[in-house]
This record gives sequence, structure tokens and C-alpha cells, in this order.
Amino acid sequence: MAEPAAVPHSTPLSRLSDAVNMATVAVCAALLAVMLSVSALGILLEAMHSLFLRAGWADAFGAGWLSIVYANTRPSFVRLFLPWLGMLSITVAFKQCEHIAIGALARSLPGPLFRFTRWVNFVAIALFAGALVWYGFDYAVGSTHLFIVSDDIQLSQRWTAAAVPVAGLILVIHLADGLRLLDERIDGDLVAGTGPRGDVDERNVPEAAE
Amino acid sequence: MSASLAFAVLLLIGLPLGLVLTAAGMVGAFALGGTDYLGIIADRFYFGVSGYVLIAVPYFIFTAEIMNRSGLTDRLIAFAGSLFGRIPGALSHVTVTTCVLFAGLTGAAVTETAAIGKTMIPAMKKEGYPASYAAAVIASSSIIGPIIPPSIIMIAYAATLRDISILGLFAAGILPGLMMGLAMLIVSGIISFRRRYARHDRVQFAVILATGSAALAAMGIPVVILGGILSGLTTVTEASVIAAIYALVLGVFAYRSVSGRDMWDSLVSTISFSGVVFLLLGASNVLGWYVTRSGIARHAAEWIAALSSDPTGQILAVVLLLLIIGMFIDVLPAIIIAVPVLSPALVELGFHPLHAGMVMLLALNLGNITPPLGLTLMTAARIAGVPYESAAREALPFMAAHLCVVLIAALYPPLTLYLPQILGVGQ
Repeated sequence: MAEPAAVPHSTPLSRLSDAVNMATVAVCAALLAVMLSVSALGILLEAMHSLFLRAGWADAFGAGWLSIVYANTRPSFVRLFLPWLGMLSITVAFKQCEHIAIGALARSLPGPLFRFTRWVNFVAIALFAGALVWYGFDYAVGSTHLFIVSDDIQLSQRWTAAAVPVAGLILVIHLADGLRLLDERIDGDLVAGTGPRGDVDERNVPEAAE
Repeated sequence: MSASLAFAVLLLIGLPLGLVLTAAGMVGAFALGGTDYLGIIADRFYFGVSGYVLIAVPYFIFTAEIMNRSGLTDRLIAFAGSLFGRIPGALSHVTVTTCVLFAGLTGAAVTETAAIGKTMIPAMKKEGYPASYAAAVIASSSIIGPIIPPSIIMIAYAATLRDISILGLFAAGILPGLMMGLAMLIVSGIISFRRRYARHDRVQFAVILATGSAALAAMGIPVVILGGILSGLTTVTEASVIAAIYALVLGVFAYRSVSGRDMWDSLVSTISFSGVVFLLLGASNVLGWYVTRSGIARHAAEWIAALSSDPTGQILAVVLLLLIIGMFIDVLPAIIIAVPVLSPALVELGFHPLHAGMVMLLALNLGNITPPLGLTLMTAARIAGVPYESAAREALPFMAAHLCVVLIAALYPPLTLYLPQILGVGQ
């Protein structure tokens, strides 16, 4: 998978979209690092726990700091991060044009028809983003489930379900990229690129994808 | 009907597949219950991306990313290179063997093609192999990656169905995966002999020992993953964590080849690739909701049963359908589209869920290299700098070999069910 596209942006909205994407990547990286660290610690403590049980030192995990750390590094804790990582990473994939699409037929259409299909696709993305915000907000507000990781960590599902409308909102911001959002990345190159005014950039179409 | 129409139109005009599936599911939901049902998009997307087992997806991607950047590939290639000596087409066989070894590290064919192809294709061209043949060998060998565990497509399959054991699927994939490797070696051997491809120096035990020990730590990852999971010591998620930590320790401390920048790049790539997978999983849940309520799966079962009353005819019909789907749609979305409909249908007709699952995965996986949309072959052709069509032509004998494995797996259930039965998983 490739690095973010080095596409020159000029409008304040597209700069905002870039900044939001950078922040999203940073948040996702932090989430992934925390998930990995907590999971590793959890596995280590699990192994220690079973060793201590066999050695007859079960009390070590009965109370004190070890018991607190053990209780709060269970997989159920890591799972709280997953909806955020999942939904936010979708927006990153969109922004970086990591789409899987069947574009060959549309690309073979005459110019005006091709541009029309791209606008239809753009409207579909906008509707998708809008639906995530609209229905996601209702869903998050209406969530009543409570996640109980331990005595110390108990979290309303509202906080995890909020990932849905937030991801929708980020996608709405990325709409500022216009039709560029629909470019497809194959092995690091953008395919079927269109400029901000909808001009087809033939230089971006690699030979193998023709 | 309205959902199918929306699906077809949006697919053909090039909308990202995740959104095509979502739109088809939403249109179907609207047809079933009007605007009241449109709210399922939030609920289904949330559950689609938050299943516990999905934690393993970013971890496995991260492991592969770190291993790609840590020089592991070169060590595996050196080891595989020491094994073939004076056999014609030694480097072709080295490529196949490296891909089989690499299959235990990564679960995605495109990742494997990029990792190995960037080293092996220039080396093969240097030894006089046609670039299109090099691309064909790399791509055709890389598709073993998603069949030998760990496998992202198997996790996606299990996450889509929710009532099938990932452990069982992992165990079921090992024998067909090894058989694919063997089939590749046979075809590569025949072609290399007929075309008199280059031989290497005689095999030397000392070289095998030296390169093998250099690659030993890297080859420990499949042992950690498979050994842990299949012995019941770890869950899939725990194994993915251990593999990621193992890869990090290896890259940062043992090989000292992974810098801070590499780690950041690995995280960014992991996030981006995970986003592609999570979009498809969320979308599959929206479509799956509609498929479940509309009774499409039952109709599909009736349709297959009407085609033939003989189980052999039924599963061959499904294989043919999946091969056609795989020609036009990438593997992961194809699984997400076809599995909720066809898998329950096959189980309803009396096929074992693991057998049905593996046959479906094997057939769809072949779509990675079949034109017109074989993304893995496309990637290999790009690396080799050859037209896609010429690489596809060279890949034909390898496609035929893989097709034989698919057919054997379809017609001979023990190939997929033997290991799960022995290990007592997924029954």
C-alpha cells in the first residue's frame, strides 16, 4: 500500500481535508500502537497468571496493582478501540484513493459520459457520507449498551458508536477533494485521474490497467 | 430486483465496491420496509467493523509490513536459492518456494507479489527469463499466500458468516495450499525443462545450512502463528499479536533493519489497507442484512439444486460461478458478495461448512490472476514492466494447475477436511 498522494491542493477546504486526514492517520496510528501494546501486555499477564496458578501463587493476581493491570488488559478492552480504528481507517483509505472498483468500463466511455459517471459516483459517496452522519448520530445517541471491561472501566456504547457519525463527518470534509477522491490507486499510481475541474489526466493511467 | 439493478449499474460505472454493496443493501432495505429501514446502515457498519476476531486483521497486515521492510524476503530467497542447484529453471523454482515460505507470514496475495516480485523479477530477467514469464510465476505463486494461513480472506469469510470456525478454515487451507505449491513446481519444472532455462551451481549442504540458519528466525513466524493457533495455546487474535511483536523484535533488534521511519510507514500502510478491508466488511453487513431477510440464500440453494441433484454437479456449478465472478471482481469483495448467498446454500444442500468454505475460497482466489481483473497479476506485470495480456498468456499453464487443485478440493473433501479432523478444530 502506498503513501498519501502528493497532489497539489490550493483551496482552504482541501487544505482542511488534508489536515483532517493527517490528524486521522495520527489518531489511527496511536490507536493501533495502544491496541498492540495492551494486547501484548495482556498475553504476557495471561501467561504469568497461569504460571502463578500452577506454582500456587494465585494470590498475586487476587489483589493489588497486578490484579488491576490484569483486569484492564483483557481483549474486551482492546475491542473498545476497534470501531474507531475500523471507521477512521475507512476515511484514510478513501482519502488515499485506496479503492477497489471496476473502472475499466467507465474509462472506456466517451469523455462527457465518463465525466457524468464520475459525478454520479461522487454524489453516491456524498450520500454515503451523509447517511453515516445522519443515521450514525441517531444510532450513537440511541445506544444504551454498557461495555464492562472491569470494575474500573465501564463504557457506554455511545462512545464507540460515535465512530460512525464522526467517520461520516470526516468523509464529508474529504468531499472537498472533488472528483480526485474517486481516483484509483494501483501499485502506487493513480488511475483515471481527473483534475479539480473534471479534466481527465491521461498521464495517470498506467499501461497495465488499460 | 431493485437491489440487483442498483448493484449492477453502480458496479459498472466504477463506484468503489464497498459503496456498491452498501447502496445495494440500502436499496433492498428500502424495498423491504421503506425509509424506516434505512437506519440499518449505521448499525450494520458498526457491527461489521467491531467483531472481536477483526482485531487480527490490522495486526497481520502490520506483521507483513514490518517483515517486508526488515530484509526478510532476501533471507528467504537466499535460502530457497540454495535448494535447487543444477535443476533447469532454478530461479523459477526458487520464486515458487519463496512464495510458499512467505505464505505463512502474510495473508494477502498482492502484498506477497510486491514484496517478492521487486527482488525476484529483476533477478529472473537478468538470468534470461522473459519478463512476462517472471511476472506470471510471481503472481501465480503469490496466490498461495491467502490459502496457507494466516489469511485475511479467511478472516473476512468467517466474519461475514459468523458461524464458521477460523481455526477450522486455517487448518483446512494447509493441504490445498501445499498442493498448489507442488503444482506450481511441476508446471515450472516442465516449462523450464522445455525452454532450457538457466541452472545454478551444484547444491552445497554448507550453503543450505548457512542460508537456512540466516532465515530461521524469519521462518519461526509461521511456526508461532500456526503452532499457537492449531495447538490451542493461542487464539487467532493472540497469535496475530505475538506475530506482530515477534516481527518487530526481529526487525528492530535482531536484524536492525527497521528504522523509526519504517515503523511509521508500516503503521500508515496498515491503516490504509485496513480501511479497505473494513469498508468491505461494514458494507457486507449492510448487504448481508438484506440478503438474510429477503430469502435470496434459500432461492440460491433451490437454484443450485435445480441445476443438478448430484452433489458433484452442484459443487462444480458453484465453482464455475465463482470462477466467473472472480474474473471480474477482486477476491475480498467477491467473497463478501458471494459468501452470504452461496455458502448457506451449499450447507443446506448437505456440504460440510469447511469443505464448502475452502472450495469457495480456492475458486475465488484464482480470480487474483485471471483476466480481465486479476489484481495480483496486474501488480506483477507492472513490476516486470510488461503488458498485462502477455503476463496473462504466460500464466495460463499455472492457472490450469491451480484449477486442478480447486477441482480436486471440490471433488475430494478429505483434502480440506483431513487436517481439521485430525486437529479437532472447526467440526
